[in-house]
Amino acid sequence: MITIDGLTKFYGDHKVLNNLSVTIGNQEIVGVIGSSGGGKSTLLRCLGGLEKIDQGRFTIQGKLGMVFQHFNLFPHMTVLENLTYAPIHVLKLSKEEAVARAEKLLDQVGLLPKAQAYPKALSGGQKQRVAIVRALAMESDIILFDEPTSALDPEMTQEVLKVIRDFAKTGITMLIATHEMRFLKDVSSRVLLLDQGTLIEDRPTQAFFANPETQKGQQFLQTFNGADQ
Amino acid sequence: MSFDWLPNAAFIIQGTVTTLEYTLLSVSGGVILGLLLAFAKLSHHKSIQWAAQFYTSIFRGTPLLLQLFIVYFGIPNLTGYQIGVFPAGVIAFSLNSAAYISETMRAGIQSIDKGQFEAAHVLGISKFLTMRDIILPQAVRIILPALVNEMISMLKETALISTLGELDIMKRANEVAAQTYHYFEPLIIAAISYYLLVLLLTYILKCIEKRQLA
Repeated sequence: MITIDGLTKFYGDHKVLNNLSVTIGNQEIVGVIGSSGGGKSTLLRCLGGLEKIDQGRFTIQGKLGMVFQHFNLFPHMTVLENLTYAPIHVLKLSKEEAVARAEKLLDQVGLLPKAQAYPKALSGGQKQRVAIVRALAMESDIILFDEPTSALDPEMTQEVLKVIRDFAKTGITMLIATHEMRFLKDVSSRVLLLDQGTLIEDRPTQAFFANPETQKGQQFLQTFNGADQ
Repeated sequence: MSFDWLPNAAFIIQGTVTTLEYTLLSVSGGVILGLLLAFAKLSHHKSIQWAAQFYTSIFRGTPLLLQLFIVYFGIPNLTGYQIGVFPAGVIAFSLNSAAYISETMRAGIQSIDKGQFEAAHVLGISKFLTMRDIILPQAVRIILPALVNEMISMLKETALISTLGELDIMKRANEVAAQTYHYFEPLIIAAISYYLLVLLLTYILKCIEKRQLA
């Protein structure tokens, strides 16, 4: 569970998150949407402990993992090492156990044959799939996705979305910042619409897509419906 | 008096061992101290940052020969404890080398993508392990060529130790010159000795760069 209370964040004089309060329950799949610069990434980065917050507070109950737009795999380690390093050094698992778990996860995303490959030998979609299972290998039950497909071409986007979709069914809490509206419509139960750092809609997915409450919400959806056709 | 090539050349070339000892030990010392200084430069504490910058500025801003004399003559004068030529040389050269190496290392560490630190942070990896196992192994690839260049400079600069009487390549050439009254030949033999050592290091550097491109 994530509880956010009055979260405010400035970059210099610019308020990027404005008094944001929201609670995310266990096993919820929540889409975080809004135009670029609206604060989606900043919100996730604050929750991930990568940005200092200026006002308010948040609590996270559970183990947090994060998936980045640019994957951030460790390039000097093999795929398997990327997956086992933190479980061995942070969770103190034995090497055998960490490897067994990593291999199982790799198998689930169809990348077991790439276990010994280095990240540079992988496609963008494959890298992101590895990054997702790297987060899961840490026994995370909450995963923050920071625009996981924005750096990928359409074909790879689909393979990554499929993996997220599969794991969404396993009871993991997800907060997904993305522009993939069709995907969210399908996978998420709830959407948060951020506009210039302010949470302007917090609605069940179906209700939001059927009828946004705010004018900004309508405009935002129109832009995407236009792009979809 | 004619110049007796073989024994004189052999005498001078024996100095390569001494020269290499100074070079390798000084650069090793420089790497260790340089790494600490690099961390200091990346510290969040302004005073630590400033102290490390000041260190670099002093050691870059004064002649190495003067630094060597301060360590060998100045500090014993102050403390009353006489230090040997070899430790004095290695200490002075290490301190000087660290000033340059720390800059290289700082730049190398800073060149690593911020996302690497962030991924490690979110995975719960400690700062120490992040540095040791995630950041430094990547930074070394960037730093290594500059380190070999530093070693090449250091190799030539160790000739300063001859001023304190250490029998390195330079001093040996000078001694042969003083005994035979031939200056050209011993100095050329010394020059060739240094040059071959530098060529060797350059070759190693090329191999490293080639391996990195692969």
